[in-house]
Amino acid sequence: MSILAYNGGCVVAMRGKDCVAIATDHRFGVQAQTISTDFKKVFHIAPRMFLGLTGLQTDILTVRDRLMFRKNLYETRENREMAPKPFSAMLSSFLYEHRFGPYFIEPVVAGLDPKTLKPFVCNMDLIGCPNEPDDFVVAGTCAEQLYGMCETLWKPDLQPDQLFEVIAQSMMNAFDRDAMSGWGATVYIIEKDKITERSLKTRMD
Amino acid sequence: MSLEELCGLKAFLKTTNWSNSMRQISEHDFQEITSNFNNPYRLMAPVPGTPDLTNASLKIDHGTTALGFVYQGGIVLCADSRSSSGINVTTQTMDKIVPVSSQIVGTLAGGSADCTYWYRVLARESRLHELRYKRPMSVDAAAKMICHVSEMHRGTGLNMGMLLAGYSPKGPSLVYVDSDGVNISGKRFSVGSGASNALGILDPMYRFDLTDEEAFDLALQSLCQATLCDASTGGMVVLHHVGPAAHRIVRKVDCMELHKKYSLDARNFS
Repeated sequence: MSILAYNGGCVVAMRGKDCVAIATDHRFGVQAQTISTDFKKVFHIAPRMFLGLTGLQTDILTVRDRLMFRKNLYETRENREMAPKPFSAMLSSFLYEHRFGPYFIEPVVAGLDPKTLKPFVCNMDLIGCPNEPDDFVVAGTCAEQLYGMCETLWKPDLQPDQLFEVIAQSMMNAFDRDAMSGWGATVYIIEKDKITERSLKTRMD
Repeated sequence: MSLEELCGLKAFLKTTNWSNSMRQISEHDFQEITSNFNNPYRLMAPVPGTPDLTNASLKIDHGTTALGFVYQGGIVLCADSRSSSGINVTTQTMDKIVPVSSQIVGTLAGGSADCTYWYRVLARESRLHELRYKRPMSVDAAAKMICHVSEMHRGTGLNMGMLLAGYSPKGPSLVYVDSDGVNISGKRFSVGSGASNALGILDPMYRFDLTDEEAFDLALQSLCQATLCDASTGGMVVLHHVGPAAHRIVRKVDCMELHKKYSLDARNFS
């Protein structure tokens, strides 16, 4: 089994009209053994930006901490809020620093630009190849299933409530076909004036 | 010869690297090709150079939790219905408790293909036994047969773990038998990837003098714990009761119903 699938879990992010959504499952396991069902892989790192990390749990925590340090340093130096795009660039170069001994994570960034309020989603592989599409990004042990669900359900210019429905359905139906993800999910909808967090009741097997 | 044409035997022979200038197809050749039609124990030998299947074990459907115990009212067997191939959930509706004969019921765990094949063979053997000796095959005999199969195929990557339950005039019997050749008769067992999770509930709460309802509840709760903690266990939970006269399905319930009932995760969803 790949080290990226050792702890299980998945994250998906989607763009809507003037909003973005990011969702995570709650499972933390060691191979097939479920250890905990309240491990959220998405972190609120700026007022309108979330970082989702899937893969090896120890690296998720390390990468989160190191990135927070670099982001805080940037914000202190520049005296302004960090936008999602430069954050992704920083994440990408951070991951490539470890090209020959990488962190075993797949990151997803979702947010609104602090100035223009333009929606932004981005994901990367474990050595920092960035991908910034204008629809959705997926990561985790059920990435294939998520691609299938998102390709089917997503359409341009979804309103926040529709976007919630799409991302929740994509997530739940994808991880029900994956033994390593699931056990509850949380969806965050980021709009210019508010952030909505919703917990989903899902199958617990 | 028309049957051979119909079955495409010629085409098959060509693909098997045998000399094309072959002599007449003899009875022997025919039996070679249909190796396990007459004798189910005869499986094709691997072609030289075939990669070891044990390395591909993640690609083969497996993963389960099944449990069984004997109590004053008979035997309870309980299993989930998920079948997964690696981390991919192949189906959520697989029957893992199967009747072998009118007297014996068994659970299957391990490689799905191995289990279904050898259960089929076991069903055939037990029926032949009934016809030959005018009495049903005992659970011990069935277990011994599987045990022999395991020994025959030791080291080939055969992977199964079975619980066989049934009644004989001497009383209830429950046997665990697996592909390592282990064959133990006992009062309570759990098999499969989620077995230790299920035993965590089953062991401390088990008593021989449980009432029927208590026994069913205990089995369901143990399995429910396994569906929560083990990734390759889930779907429907099926509960069988084996009594002196007959066996029956007591309950078939989605494990989410059980999670609500036993509120295993009240912390998250209170």
